[in-house]
Amino acid sequence: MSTSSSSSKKIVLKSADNETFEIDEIVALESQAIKNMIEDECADNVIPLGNIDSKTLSKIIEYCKKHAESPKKDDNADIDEKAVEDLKSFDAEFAKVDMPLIQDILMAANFLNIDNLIGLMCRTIADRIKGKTPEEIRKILNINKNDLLSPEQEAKAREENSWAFD
Amino acid sequence: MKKQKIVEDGYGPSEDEDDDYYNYKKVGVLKDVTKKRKMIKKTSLEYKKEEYLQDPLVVFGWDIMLKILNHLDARSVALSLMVSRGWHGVASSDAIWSKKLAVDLEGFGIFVAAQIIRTCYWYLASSCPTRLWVRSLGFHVLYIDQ
Repeated sequence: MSTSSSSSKKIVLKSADNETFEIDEIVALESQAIKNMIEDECADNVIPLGNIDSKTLSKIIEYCKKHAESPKKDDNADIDEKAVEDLKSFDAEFAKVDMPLIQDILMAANFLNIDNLIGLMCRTIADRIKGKTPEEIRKILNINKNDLLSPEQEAKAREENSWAFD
Repeated sequence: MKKQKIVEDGYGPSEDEDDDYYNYKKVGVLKDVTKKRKMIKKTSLEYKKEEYLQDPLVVFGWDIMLKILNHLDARSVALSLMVSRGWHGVASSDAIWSKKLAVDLEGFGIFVAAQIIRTCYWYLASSCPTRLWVRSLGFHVLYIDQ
């Protein structure tokens, strides 16, 4: 086997709704979990992902493709600024989805152990609740109303952090 | 005996009803009950999905929640304290505030003060009750600057 054929090796991912996605191995390696599977040689050609639906999986593959293509930060010091900017704008565009999908992606990224993507999704959720009042945050994230602070606790917290409410 | 019970339930045949009608009625009642049960099951599932699936603390737990809150500024974290009991626990944890304090103070251009307060903070955090005082002192500095 020549090196060129091993570098273009394909991996097939299968979503919960039985859709298959064929991707380059290098793209799949963005996921630490899949990387470990491949290294331990316990991955057959098809990797079933029973808890990720096809919509989420295609988003994740889109992300991994882009990040696998662009040069890694720790490779060398002289990566051009353009590539970094390009990746940044890609990430910003990628995060423009509704909250349920963000959570699905975060769930899947957590499962597949894709560090960058976990970070991006956490930052996205943070951006959406930044500077919002508790009531607005509850609405945005559909927080269970049975778990609210008691009026006394809330008054105490409000008093301790009065500087935040001005 | 059986018949007696049915009559007590109020679904027994009255004298002018024949058996067929009685059976129809009984089946009808049963169907209604199962229909109701299905409805309850469905709504509780939907309720679960709508109400709980989006709270990152419930869905992902502390690790991810800390990562999210670490992206927020001090003011936003303070506001998120009041979202729910669970959030209060995470958002008031030292894991957030020890970093937050230093970062925000640096943001106001008093890096040295931040270092000193951070050092004090860590020193006092280990000898517990006074740490709250340090925390509010940190806020006080922020407050004056704003």
